[in-house]
Amino acid sequence: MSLLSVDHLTLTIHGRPVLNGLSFTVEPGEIVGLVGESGSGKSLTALSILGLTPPGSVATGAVKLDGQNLLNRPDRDLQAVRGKDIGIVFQEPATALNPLLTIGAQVAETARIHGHSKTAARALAAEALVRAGLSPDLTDRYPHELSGGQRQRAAIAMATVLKPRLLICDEPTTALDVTTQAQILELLKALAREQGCGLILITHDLAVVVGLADRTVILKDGAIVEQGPTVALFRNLTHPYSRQLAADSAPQPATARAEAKGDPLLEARDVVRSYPGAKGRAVDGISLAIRPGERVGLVGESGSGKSTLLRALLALEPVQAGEIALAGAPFRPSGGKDRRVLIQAVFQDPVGSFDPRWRVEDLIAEPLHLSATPVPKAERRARVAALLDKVGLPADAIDRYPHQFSGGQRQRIAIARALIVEPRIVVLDEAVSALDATVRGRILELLDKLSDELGVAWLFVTHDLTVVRAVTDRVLVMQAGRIVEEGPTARVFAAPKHPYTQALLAAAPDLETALAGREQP
Amino acid sequence: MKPTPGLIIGILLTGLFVAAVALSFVWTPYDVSTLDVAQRLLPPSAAHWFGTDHFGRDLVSMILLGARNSLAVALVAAGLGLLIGVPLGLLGAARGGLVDELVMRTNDLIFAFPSLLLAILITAVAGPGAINAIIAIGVFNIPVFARVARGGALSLWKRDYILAARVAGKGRWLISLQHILPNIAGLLIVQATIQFSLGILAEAGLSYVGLGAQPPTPSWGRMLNEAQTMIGFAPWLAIFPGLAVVLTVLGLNLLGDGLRDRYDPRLAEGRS
Repeated sequence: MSLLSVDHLTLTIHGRPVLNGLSFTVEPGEIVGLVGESGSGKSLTALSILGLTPPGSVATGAVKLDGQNLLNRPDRDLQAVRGKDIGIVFQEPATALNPLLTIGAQVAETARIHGHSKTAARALAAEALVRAGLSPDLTDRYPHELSGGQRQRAAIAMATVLKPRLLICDEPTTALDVTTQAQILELLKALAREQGCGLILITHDLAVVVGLADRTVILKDGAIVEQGPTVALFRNLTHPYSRQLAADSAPQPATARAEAKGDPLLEARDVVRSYPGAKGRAVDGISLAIRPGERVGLVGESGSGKSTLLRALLALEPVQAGEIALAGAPFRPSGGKDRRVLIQAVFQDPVGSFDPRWRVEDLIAEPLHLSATPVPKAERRARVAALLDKVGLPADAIDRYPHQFSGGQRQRIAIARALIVEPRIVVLDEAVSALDATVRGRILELLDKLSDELGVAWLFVTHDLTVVRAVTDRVLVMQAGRIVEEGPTARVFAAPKHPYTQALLAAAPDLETALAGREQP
Repeated sequence: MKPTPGLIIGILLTGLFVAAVALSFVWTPYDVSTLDVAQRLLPPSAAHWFGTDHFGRDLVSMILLGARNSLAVALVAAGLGLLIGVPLGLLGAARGGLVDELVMRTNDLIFAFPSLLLAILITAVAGPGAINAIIAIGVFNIPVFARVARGGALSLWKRDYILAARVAGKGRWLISLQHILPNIAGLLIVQATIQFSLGILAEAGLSYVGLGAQPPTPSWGRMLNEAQTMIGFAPWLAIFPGLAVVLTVLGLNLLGDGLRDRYDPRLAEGRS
C-alpha cells in the first residue's frame, strides 16, 4: 500500500473548478515532484492534502494516508495529523517563522502541541535542528539572526521534528541563492532517504525536480498532463505543454554577436559605497563599462552588493568614492536630470513596481516627466499605445489598472515604462526572477527582439544564471562587493576561472546536466 | 466586504449629527435669542421635547445650534492638523535624517503635554473664544497627523514604484504628492474622523470650563456647565446636551474604527 494515495481529487472554490481529477501516489522514501506553471494547482494540491483549502472549497475524491482517507474530515482530526504525520515547508523562510520566538522554541512547539512534555519537546527539537544541519549553538537564536538558508533549515526542522511520514515542500528553495538551494535540496534528499519519509516537492523549477525527484507529476490548469519516473518521463515528454515547459527551463545560450564597440555608455570607476553601521563595504572599488547596444549580466548572490551597485549606477544614491559616468559625463544623484533619459530601469517585483492607483497609461508615461518640453496628452497616449503593441499587450490595456494583469504582463508594462523615453541603456533588476519558466521565456524573447530593434543596451542584474546565459554577451560576477570575474558569457560558462564562479555554476540547477547526472548509475 | 454593525451605527449617528447642523441653519423649534422667563425650567413635554433652561430657552433649539458650534470648531481644528501635520510627516519621510528628527522630536514635545491642559493654557493666555479654542485644539492634531502620514509614507518609500518614479526623474515632493499622498489617503481619512470626535470632546471640555465659545453662542459644553447647579431639580438640562456629546463622539469613533478596519492594510491582512 502506498504511503499517500491521491485518488481523483477534485476541488472547486466558490463553484470554480481548480483541481480536476488528480490521481497520484507517494511511496515511503520516495520523492515526488509536482511541477507546472503558476496557477496550475500545485500549491492547492498540497493544501488539499492537509485539509487547509480556503473557505468556499468543495473537495471530492480521496486523499489516503496509509489507507486512511483524510479528505473532508473534521479539522480536529486533521490537526492531529498535521505536524505529526505530515509536515510542510513553505517557500518564504522569512515569514514562515515567528520572529518573537527562538528557533529552538518554535521547533519544540510543534512537539508540545502533539503531547510531548516540555523536556521531551526540547530534546526532540535539538535533535531535529541537528538533523536539519544547524549547529546546536543556533538553538537560542531568533529568526532575524539567521541567514535565509539557516531559516529554511529551521523551517525544515520544524516540519520534521516528529519525523512525519510525509513531508510536503512548497517551493522550498525559490527564495534562496543557488549555492544555498543546492545545500537545502541535499538535505531534503537525505531526509527522504534516511528517514524513509515520502516527500512531495512542489516547484516551478524543472531542473530542481529532475535533479531530485524519483517521480514527477506535471500539472496544467488543475489537471495532470503527464506523470512517471522522472528520468524516463523527461527523456520522452509527449504532451506539448510539458515540452514547452522543458524548453523554457533550459533556454538556448545567446547566439554570439559582434563585440560591442565605441565609447562606454555607462561607466563606473573604482566605485565605493558603504552603509553606516554595516561591516565592510557593500560596493568595494568596482569598475565596469557598458558600451552601446551591449547586453551585460551582473551576477551575484544576495548580499553581494549588486543592489547597492545598481542604485549607484542609476544615480539614486551617492557613492563615497569613485565615479559613475553616463555618456562621458559624471552622473550623480544631484543634477544630471537631463541625462536620466538615457538610462531607465525595470525592477524585480511585478506587484510592487506600480502605484496601484494609477492606470497603465499614466504608469508607462511616468518617465516622460524627463522630457525637456511637456508632451501633449494626445501624443502621450499615442506613444503609450505604440509601446503596448511593441511589448505584446492588447490595446485595451491602456485604461486598466496594474492589478488586472498577470505577473508576466506586468513585467511587459514595466519594460514599456522603461522604453518610453527611448533610453540608450536599461537596467533590469531581477526582472524575470519572479516569473515561471514559460512566462520568463516569453519575456526574454521580447527583450531579445527589442534589443535588436532599438539598439538599446541591457544590464541584467540577477542571481539567475540561466537568464544570464540565455541573453547576455558578457558577464560580470560579483562577490562581497567586488567583481571577481568578467568575460564573454560563453567563455565564463565554459571555463570559469574564479573559484566562486565555479561554485556558482556547479550549484546552478540545469535541466540537461541534471538529466545526464541521473542517468549515470 | 459587508459593513460591520459598528460602521453602520457610526454612519447613522454621524449622519444624525450632520443633519442636526444642517437643520439648525433653516429651522429651530424656537428662537433662542429671546428670553422668556415665564417658560423657564419646564420639564420635557410635547411643546418642549427636551424641556427649557433657566432663561426659558428651548433645549432642542439650543442643542441644534450647539451642534453647529461643535462642528465648526472640530472641523477647522482637524483641518488645521491635516493641513500642517500631513506635509510635515511627508517631509520627514521623504528627507529622513536631520529633517525627520527635527520634525518628529518637535512632535514629541507637543505630545508630551496633556492636550487639554495646554489648550487651557493657550486659551487662558490668548483669551477665551471659539477661534482660540480652534487653534488650541488644532495644535494637538498636528503631531497626530504628522505621525500617521510619516508612518504610512515610510512604508511606501521602500516600494519599487517609488524607485521607478525616481528613475523617471521625479523629486521627493512630486513623488510625495503623486504617489504617497493618494496611497495614504485612507489612513488619513480614518485619523481625521477620530481627531474630529476628539475635537468635539475637547471643545465641550473647553466651553465647560468657560474657555470655548462665549455667550450667547450656544455650546454643548457650556450648557453642561450651567446645568450642574440645577441638576437636582432640572436633570434634563444635563441629560440632553450630555447625550448629544456622547452620541456624536460615539458615532464618529465607530465610523473611524469601521473605516480603519476597511482601509488599514495591516488589519486587512489578519482578517482575510
